[in-house]
Amino acid sequence: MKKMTDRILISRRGLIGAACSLAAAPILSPVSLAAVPGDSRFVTIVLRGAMDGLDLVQPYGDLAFRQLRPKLALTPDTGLIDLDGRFGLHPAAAALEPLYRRGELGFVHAVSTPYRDGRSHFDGQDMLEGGGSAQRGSEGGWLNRVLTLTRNPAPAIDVSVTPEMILSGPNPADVWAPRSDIALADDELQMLARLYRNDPAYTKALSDAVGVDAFTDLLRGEAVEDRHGAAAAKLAGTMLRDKYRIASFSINGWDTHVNQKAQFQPAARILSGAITTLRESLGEAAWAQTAVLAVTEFGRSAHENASGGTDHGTGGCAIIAGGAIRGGKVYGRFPGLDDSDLLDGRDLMPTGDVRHIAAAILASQFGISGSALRSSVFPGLQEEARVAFL
Amino acid sequence: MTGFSAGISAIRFGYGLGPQTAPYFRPDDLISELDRAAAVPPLFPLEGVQGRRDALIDFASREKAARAERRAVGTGGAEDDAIKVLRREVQKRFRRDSVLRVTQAVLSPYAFHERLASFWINHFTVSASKSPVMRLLVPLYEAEAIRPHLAGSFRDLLISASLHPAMVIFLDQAKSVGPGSRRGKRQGGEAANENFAREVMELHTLGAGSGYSQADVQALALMLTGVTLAPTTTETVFNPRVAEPGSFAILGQRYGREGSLDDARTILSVLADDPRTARHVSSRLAIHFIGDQPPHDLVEKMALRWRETHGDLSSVYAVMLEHPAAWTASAGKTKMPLDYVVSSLKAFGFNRAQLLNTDDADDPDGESDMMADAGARAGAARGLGQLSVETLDALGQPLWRASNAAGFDDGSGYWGGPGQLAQRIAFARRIIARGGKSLDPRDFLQATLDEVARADTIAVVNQAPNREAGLLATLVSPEFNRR
Repeated sequence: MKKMTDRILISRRGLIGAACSLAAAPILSPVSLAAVPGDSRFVTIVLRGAMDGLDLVQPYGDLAFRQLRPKLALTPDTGLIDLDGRFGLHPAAAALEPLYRRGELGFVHAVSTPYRDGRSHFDGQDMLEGGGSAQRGSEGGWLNRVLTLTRNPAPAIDVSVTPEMILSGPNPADVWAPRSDIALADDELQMLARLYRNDPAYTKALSDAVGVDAFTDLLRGEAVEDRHGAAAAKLAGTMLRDKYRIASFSINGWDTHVNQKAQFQPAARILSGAITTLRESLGEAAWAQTAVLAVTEFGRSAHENASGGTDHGTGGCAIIAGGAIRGGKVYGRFPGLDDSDLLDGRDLMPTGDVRHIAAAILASQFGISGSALRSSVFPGLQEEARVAFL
Repeated sequence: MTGFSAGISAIRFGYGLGPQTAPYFRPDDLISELDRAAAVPPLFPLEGVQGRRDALIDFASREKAARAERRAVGTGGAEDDAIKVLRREVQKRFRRDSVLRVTQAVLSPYAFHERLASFWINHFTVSASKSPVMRLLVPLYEAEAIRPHLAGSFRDLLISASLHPAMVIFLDQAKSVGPGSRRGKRQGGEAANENFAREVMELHTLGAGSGYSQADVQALALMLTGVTLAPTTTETVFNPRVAEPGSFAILGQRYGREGSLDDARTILSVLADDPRTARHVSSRLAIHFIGDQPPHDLVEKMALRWRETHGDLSSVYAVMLEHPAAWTASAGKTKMPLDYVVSSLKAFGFNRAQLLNTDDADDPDGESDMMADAGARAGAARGLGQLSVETLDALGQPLWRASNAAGFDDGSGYWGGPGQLAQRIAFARRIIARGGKSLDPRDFLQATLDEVARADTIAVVNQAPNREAGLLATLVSPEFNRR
């Protein structure tokens, strides 16, 4: 057997079985919600752990892509869903295809925050949620600052699960938790395997705890995962339909260092399930006035590594969805994947800033002026030409 | 003293590092805190020591009345309900005491004192599961019989613990009748209950296999007859009507009768002073604090100091703290569940309100309501103290409810299995959700494990896919689970 720590294929269900009476925090975070005037809605989904945009939206037309990723790269012949003859959608996100065809979902490729070369999840997430001005969480999140401009704070309600940074700050936002009965994301299980790799007793305890039928478990796990992917989204959708207009939640599980082929799928399914469930629970009318933005702290390395995974990178991919956006297209300026195109010879070169995407949506949905967005929501953000997807 | 380390000190002899943990700088700091700590009453029992004694008298009279009524009227009526109400009240108070017990351990600035209290309550185990009155008595027992004596002489601690009504009930001493006593002769066929005598010699003092005989056990049991409870006050008293007359040969010495609780005090003093007790109890201490196989010379040195000082516990602790083995980094002793839970809570610096919030203390099933539907309000979460008490049940160390007189197993092997790990992960995730989201995992690791952190943990925490995962990696790392 190969070293256990390289490929400890472990299932959530095994661990849940062992820990069943004390269900743990969910893969999906609690949903933070805020009320603003009007009927336009905005949802952010933070994809924690660095979602690999090159896996979700694969530039299969680019020959270099297959050379960089001999194990991970797919083609329409091997299950990839062709989007436009150049990019293809990962099959685990197949549930998104109908939305894409209807023009209710699109992608913005090769984007990032101003965070470069650090490759720390925490700092990257702080930058993403802080809006480019905050490090280490001191100033609150940009989505909370938006509430100042809409001048209609939600009533304050006592919360005991602290809101995530993106919607926390001086303006009140309510926090609700979906049913939380799933224990660990796959990347977190892999993290534990690395944590214990030099400690045989703990390595054994972990592998015993998660069970030996890990392979079959991963294959059978779809129904379970999809249901949980829906939980936070259903909650968010229901609340947005009624009183609230802004919602935010997170999906963990994207830190695919090893065996990405298996690990990427559950997270991609949860994301797809979350978006389709949002649409269902909002209903036609509210969905038509909704914009969803899913973003990640940074992308992953263009090369796959020796463990069949990818490492921390820079340029990533944002997902936009909802009746309020113009989808059916892969936006962004894709820089190419030849060595000379890459950042430091390893990362997808970012050609756009995720803050521009958010700012454009906020301007369109809530009528906030570009100068207000640049001065107080995303301080330091430069002006950019009008974005095409609205 | 070699290699003293404030980090190792807090982790091995306290409940770990946290934002409110005052560092120890020398072994003397640990010893000198003990006197100060003993002067501060613990948070439990709920009504305080005197209040709990009053509650016991009230409980005894209400229970007696309800039983008498039931005898007169028969079962199934309102009198049964009166007993049920009483039991429910008692159970509620016990749960509250349990939360206070965890809170005490987390909030007390005297961490070595707290760890010693946990050690000694386990050494002198009693269980609240024995009977309803024990649920009122056991927290009182720890507060008044154990905690005030854990830095003084072992003799005082032994006598105080042994003669507390909780121990008298737990080891069935209250029912022991000398066959030659007035009541024994009247009833006929009585034998003194040996349970108390056996456990005192085997577990509390000399140690199993140390050379005492069954005849010693029997003689001690006879000498202890007369030690029983006053039914209306639940106090330990001497009842001459059940006391075996005559004299008793124990461990080669003959002891006569005073006809009071002094009979028991005398023989307990003898047992406390026995060199075998010095070695047995020193060894238990070293196994608990230093490692499953403590160095032979350490135990010998502790036992020697014990004999020199007639069991002055602070002096014995000092020998342990001055030994190089106390400061080697890789002791590898697995934390028992209470240690794990308390050190996790301490790492976050949770405050009293967060620990004590028990709005839902009446919910007998715990979990059910909160998890009931998908829209469960995150804010409706139970207090961390309550969560911790439930976690200790799940982890196999239910507070004050050991399943036998030997107490909870102290061995690393006992607490290292997959179920244990899974439960610890689950607990860690839940408390992170309550208090950890704004913390930077790298700072948390530094503040919690300091120089004890292994390279793997540092690397994993630095690269963790999100904040919660980074905090989780710290709390479930091997070095956080060991000391």
